[in-house]
Amino acid sequence: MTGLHEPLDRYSRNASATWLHRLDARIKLLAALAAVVVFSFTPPTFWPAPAGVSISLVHVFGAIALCVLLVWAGVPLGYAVKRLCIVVPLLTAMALSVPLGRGFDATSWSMMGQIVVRAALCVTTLLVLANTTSDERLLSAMARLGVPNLLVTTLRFMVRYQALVADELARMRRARLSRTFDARGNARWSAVAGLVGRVLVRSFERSERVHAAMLARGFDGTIRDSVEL
Amino acid sequence: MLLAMHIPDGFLGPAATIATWGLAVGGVGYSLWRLRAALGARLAPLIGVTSAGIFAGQMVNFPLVGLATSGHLMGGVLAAVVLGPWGAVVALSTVLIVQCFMFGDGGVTALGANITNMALVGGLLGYTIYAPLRRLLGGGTRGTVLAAVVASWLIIPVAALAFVLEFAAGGTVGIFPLATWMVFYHVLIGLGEAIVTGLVVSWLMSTRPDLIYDPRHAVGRVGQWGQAVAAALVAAVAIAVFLAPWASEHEDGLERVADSLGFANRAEASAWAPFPDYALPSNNAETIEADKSAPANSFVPHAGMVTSLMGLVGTLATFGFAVIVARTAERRGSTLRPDAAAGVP
Repeated sequence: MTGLHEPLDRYSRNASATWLHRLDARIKLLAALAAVVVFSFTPPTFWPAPAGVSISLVHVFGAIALCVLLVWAGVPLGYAVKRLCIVVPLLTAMALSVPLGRGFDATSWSMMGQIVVRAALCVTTLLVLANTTSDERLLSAMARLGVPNLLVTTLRFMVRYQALVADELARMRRARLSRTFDARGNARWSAVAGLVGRVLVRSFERSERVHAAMLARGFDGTIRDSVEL
Repeated sequence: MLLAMHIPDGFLGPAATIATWGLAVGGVGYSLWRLRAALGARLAPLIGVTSAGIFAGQMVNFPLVGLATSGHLMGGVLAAVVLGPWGAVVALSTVLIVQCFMFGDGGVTALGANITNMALVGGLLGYTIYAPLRRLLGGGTRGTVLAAVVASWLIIPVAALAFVLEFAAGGTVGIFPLATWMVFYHVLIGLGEAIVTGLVVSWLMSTRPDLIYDPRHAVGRVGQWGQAVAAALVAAVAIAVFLAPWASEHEDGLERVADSLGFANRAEASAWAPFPDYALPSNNAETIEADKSAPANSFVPHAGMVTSLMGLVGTLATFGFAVIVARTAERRGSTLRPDAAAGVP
């Protein structure tokens, strides 16, 4: 699971790296949403692939298009493959719901395969979006596409402090390991509980300090951004 | 620790997607509205930064009893204990949106379902179990911990059932065979969630009891009607959780009868299903209705009695287990300095 906790946006830092990075974030967000909807809901009977493979050609051409976009965006294919290697086993485990739900026969396996293909294509779509668009521009695009400003402001705080709080957690864990070695048995449970509780209390206290500091700078509840999309 | 990961894209049919997105937009919108009335300009920093804490808390692995792997917290009830029902919905949804768009964990079309299962079921429904139970137990450390333990255990299999309903709505799988697996698995998995939630809440009670959300100090408390509804929900949840495995065995029996009688062939796939070329599983409402008159009904009264008994035993076992966990948690909380546990200087 640790691999999933690494942000996707490693290659989005340089906002003018490629034409895909420079493209209006609203267009990229809407295009990604459209692609995800198409990948998710196209039935295998629509424009079926030849040679008895029960999959739509939409998915085949979608995969090719995504590879082209990854290359255009300057994202190394190895990075995308590594990411998919983390995600696909998890997708497969979840897709076991199909044979568990309707019996272990050939149809079930084929349906399960289709679900994994759809999900993997959608994950790759988001990989392209996140690696060509920085978090701030993505959030600004959401705000300008009509997501309530209050929700977007809350998301901004979450995105801003998420890495900080995660670092704090890592420091606390390291401090514990260096003092008490590794707790075993029952002590381990209370150590975990103390860690989670302390992280919660600290982030709550931090939110109070952040709020006070922002009030001192004229904060009225929402952030109005001046990000160029 | 609901599933291996959040529901990805491609798993749900259009009907389930639209329904869960509607629920999610309505639920988050209403929660934001209630929160803005209570918090004003504090809302975004308070919920946003605390969400980061919840996200970090979800990353802490803990050992799973009897299994070689480790799980992590879903944190629905924990968020509700600290932030209250509306704060929990917004905070958990915030975590899910960020995980979806910035971490690629959970699908975009499935975001509505993930918000429904984790924020609305995990946070809001979890709170409606936790809050009246806590009042019933008289509050205090023991009452709060006990209520959190019961709520966080019950809510895991209920969230899993919600996933099964959404997944089965696409018409690709039957509800009951999958529900059997999922509920059985998540009743076990929920034990870990319950133990860790109980320990964290008892830690909070001994360190910062002022951070525990108390509706008496908040705007818009739950009234008598709310309590009645919550009590009914608790009963329904207990029944759903503990009867589902046995009920499903029963349905499996019916399904087999349906297959042998040839009812299965009558079912037609809906035009909207993502797999219209496959036959619908046999246990849809029509075939089950048709089977009620089949020879199977001779064992129905007996089976009903057994399931009721099982439900009762299950509910009592929940409370017994919760009392034990709350007691040990309380003892540990008093003997162990919390800071030593967290390793913070």
